[in-house]
Amino acid sequence: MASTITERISSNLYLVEYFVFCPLLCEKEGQEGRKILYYYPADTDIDRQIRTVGYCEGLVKFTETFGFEDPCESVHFQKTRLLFHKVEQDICIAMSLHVPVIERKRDDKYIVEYYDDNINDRIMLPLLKISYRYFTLQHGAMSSSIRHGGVEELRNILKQHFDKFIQHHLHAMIRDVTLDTSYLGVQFLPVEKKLYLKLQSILRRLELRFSSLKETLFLYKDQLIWSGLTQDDTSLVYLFFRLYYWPHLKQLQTSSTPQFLTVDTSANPADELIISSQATSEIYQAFFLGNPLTPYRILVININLITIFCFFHNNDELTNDETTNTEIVGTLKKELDTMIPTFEEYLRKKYPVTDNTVRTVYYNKMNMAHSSTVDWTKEPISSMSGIMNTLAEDMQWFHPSGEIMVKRENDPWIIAKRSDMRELLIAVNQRNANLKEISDKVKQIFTTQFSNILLLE
Amino acid sequence: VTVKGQRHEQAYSFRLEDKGAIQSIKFNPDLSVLAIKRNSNSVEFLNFPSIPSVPTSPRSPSSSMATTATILQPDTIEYSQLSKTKASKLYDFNWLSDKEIVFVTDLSLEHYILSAKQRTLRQLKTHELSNIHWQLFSREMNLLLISAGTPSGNSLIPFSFHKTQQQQLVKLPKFEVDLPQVTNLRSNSTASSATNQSTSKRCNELTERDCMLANIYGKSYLFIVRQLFRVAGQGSIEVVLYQIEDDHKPAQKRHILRLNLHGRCALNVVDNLILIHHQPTTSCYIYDIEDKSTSQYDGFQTLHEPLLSQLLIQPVNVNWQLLSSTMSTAPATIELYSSNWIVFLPNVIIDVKMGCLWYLLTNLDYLLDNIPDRLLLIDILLRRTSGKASILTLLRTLLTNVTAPVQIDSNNVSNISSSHVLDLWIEMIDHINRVFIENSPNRPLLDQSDIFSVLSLFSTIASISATGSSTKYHRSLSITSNDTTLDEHDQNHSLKFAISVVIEYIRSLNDYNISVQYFIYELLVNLLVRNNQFFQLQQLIQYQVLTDSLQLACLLLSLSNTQQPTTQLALDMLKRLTNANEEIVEILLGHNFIIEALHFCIDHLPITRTLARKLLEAAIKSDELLSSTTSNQKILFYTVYTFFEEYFQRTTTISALAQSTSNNEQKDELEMFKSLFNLHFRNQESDVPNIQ
Repeated sequence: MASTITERISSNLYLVEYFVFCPLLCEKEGQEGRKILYYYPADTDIDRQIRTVGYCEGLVKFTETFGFEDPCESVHFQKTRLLFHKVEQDICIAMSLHVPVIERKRDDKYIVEYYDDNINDRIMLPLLKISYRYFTLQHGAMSSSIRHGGVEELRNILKQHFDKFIQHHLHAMIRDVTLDTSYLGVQFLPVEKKLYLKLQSILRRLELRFSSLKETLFLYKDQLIWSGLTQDDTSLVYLFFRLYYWPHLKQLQTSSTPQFLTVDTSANPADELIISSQATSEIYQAFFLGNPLTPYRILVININLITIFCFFHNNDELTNDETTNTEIVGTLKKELDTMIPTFEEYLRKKYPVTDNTVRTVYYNKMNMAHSSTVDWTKEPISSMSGIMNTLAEDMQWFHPSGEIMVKRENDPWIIAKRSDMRELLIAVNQRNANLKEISDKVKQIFTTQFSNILLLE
Repeated sequence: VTVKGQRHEQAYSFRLEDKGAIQSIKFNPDLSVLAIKRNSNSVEFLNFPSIPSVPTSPRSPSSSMATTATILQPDTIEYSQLSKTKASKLYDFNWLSDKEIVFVTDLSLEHYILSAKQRTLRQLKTHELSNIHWQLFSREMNLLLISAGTPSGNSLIPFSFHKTQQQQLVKLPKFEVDLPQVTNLRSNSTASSATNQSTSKRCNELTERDCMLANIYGKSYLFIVRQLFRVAGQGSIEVVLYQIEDDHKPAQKRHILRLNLHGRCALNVVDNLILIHHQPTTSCYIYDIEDKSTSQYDGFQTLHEPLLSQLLIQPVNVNWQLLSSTMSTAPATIELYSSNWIVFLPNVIIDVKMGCLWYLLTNLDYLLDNIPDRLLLIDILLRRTSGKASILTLLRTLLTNVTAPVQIDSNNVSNISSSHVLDLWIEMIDHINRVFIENSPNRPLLDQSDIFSVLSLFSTIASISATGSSTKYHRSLSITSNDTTLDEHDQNHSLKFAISVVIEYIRSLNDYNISVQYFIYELLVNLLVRNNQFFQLQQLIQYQVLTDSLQLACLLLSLSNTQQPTTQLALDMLKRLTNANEEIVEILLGHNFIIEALHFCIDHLPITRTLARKLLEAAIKSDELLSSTTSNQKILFYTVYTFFEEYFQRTTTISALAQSTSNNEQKDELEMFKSLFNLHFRNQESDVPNIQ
């Protein structure tokens, strides 16, 4: 029996380093330390910091000379994986990940093997990118911080933000990363036209009534129903909601009294979400949105299972009074109460339990719509996710369309399909089915679940 | 004798022999027979040749003034019909239709059918009634009302008849009208002066003069004017409306119109509005019995206060228009509410002294300025036959309040907020659509093109923002830059308002299950695009707010660019339409998606040589494009060609042999490609064995 335990996982994927740097800040030799704006872990030796950053900078410069359409954003080492991303003019962020290690027993000795395949750039890069966007959402662009308060000011802000963010969230995000999280997509709740128009009517009337109210974003549970923001901002605010609000909200007792929500990203994860039923001026938060990033004051209202983000122009002083808040809430509450049971019904309809052997992951790059019936924590075969990740990466090369069907021993059939801007991954748990049968099954899934869209073949 | 009628443009004149004083004279509806009553027990008839038909053009004052009387030549032979019941006294007679006539005597109703050719009348039926006092007749309402029985004349029997078929009078249940309670004799005399010729003896009676028949909102009503005196010298007027129903129930007292004035008055009914002309104060009071705001239901009847008070009939001014004067040169000033006026229902006013006959019309635009409550106003307008134009004006002014606030004239409620306007708009559009869907007669139906004519004022905001960059530049030269940002803000605000208004209209149409027409969507799409709200447009399409259509798909295609790939939306839409497969192929080919197009054709279209040619041409073009970047070996052309080659070989063996003649021509279509294919690929293939 001992021979069967020939391998053991000695260490998993984890975040080793995370840093932000700006090469321009180093003017003379010997001042290399200046270009480092933030470094995690903070107790890293400064020479090592300088070496890593310089290395990264060199790679960026070097690869730029080839003039690829897509810039180089990752380097594979044996023990670590370095991912970097240029976020603003001359500012880069980077993170390095520890490559999972498996120790294999051979001749009574353990041989260490690094599993480079277990880290997928396609899955990890979005985490790096979104970590920057979370920062800008709350603090605005890094370059504008330098312009307003100087480099030291930015260093302070970065330290405050990223120390907490990495500690409380980024580690977990890297650990729990899945194909689904990598899309950074938005889950829409499909509702019927008349109900949708009714909701439109309510929100639009609200926006006209309070002239400083610029846009609204409307969620039922964790599903988006309406957003007046641009697509990028929508997905950012949506993901921010999923990260900071939703984990707390879904544990709350549903109460029909409206609550105001604010997030304190510097607090411990358990205390992040501050819930207040008082319409004071403290319930406002600033978000930086748009292009160029401009501050908005936001008011987040939670009524039952509905969350509404209200985006106010920052320059308008009139909004900052309690009567406005109470009025907004009063208007909303009256009209929304009747709609809640209907939303719940549509949510049930969105995920009908029809075929237990089929799991789908759908993403549409055009509107960032994303939906998935895969529960990654429950999937029995972990290798399935690896194949799906690889296929998702491969799909980027299909233009405009393509389809791959893969079957490994003991795994379900996995079908990756791309149709112009849409990506679709299907796992069919019919292990004995042959290619022909699976092909028919996939056709059938297309005609039943995706009948209202045109999937190119 | 000159005849002029409401339905006939032309005036007619003819001569009659003098055979004694004419008591009553009436044409039948098609003007072919004239009935003349010269004594109290017989009626003479006179045939007329058929009148040359005049095209019934819409009546306008100028045309009616210009017409000169056509002279008619009556038949020379008169024929007559005596009342059957010899002892009775013939009061009057009424034409039920072209061929039917009913005589009303003091003891009976006699119903005859007339044969103009034979110049005879045949009796159909006689209804024996005792003590007939007077009658009221309305052909429009198919109603003949007889006052009979009790000496006070308040016992009334309605008869209904069918205008075209039924040759019978149907007796409806009789009903009694309560008489005004007279308190003292002095006020009686005042009342008698009010009802003009009545004497104090008649005061306790219901007389013909106080009663009128009219149709309001499709229901038949008997109007009774009553003068009430609670205190001597003061009093009020009440008009009681009895609804006469067809369903064999006695008529019910339904409405009471109250006017806190006394004295002589007259009634007109125009466009379902009841006008009380009050002679002593020379003014008009208007009632709308369906208006809730001026009425009060007491459990039995609805009491109404005037909707509008103290209006003047103004022949020249904006208020009321008087038309159709028989005299071409009307005197410059017309004495309004003169004592010489005789008023007939529904809307006729005759000035006996001046010899003028007017039709009273309503000028609804007047209401726009006089009823500040917009919702009340829209309801009133929606009950008017000709309310459409005024409603459109109302809506337009409402929206202009927000889109161009500078243009507000001082009379209007200025500075109303856009959200308030939107709330009003929501209510109004709901009312308009409700009326549209109910589709009841005499209501203005505003369809989507009507509303669009109002909404199209938004297209101007859209165009301003299109040229916004240039105007901004000019402005920043003259005014401070702060102003321009404010302008931009306003611009956004009014665009947002416009989008909300259009969405609300779509919402309302959906609530009433009216399918929305394309031009409404087009406006919405353009507004969203102007406001850079592509993501919102996507969401609206995603949630099917914009119903799929070929036109909408084409619009989306035209909007597509690299930042806003609306092509996907358009393709999905075309697929859902299921009848636009050819368009899908065209779009795919347009994007150089050759293989995808081929796959789609195989699944969705019949494969023809024309289709093959189209795909092959596109493949060649696409190959050329690709060859500039990669070392393309005409791979698309090869793939498409081999597919069709194989396909046609397979199919021709089965079916095409039979019709080879027609196929020959089609084959030529692909001849060019065949040689091209051979040139590029066959040669190489044939080289292969040589090398080996």
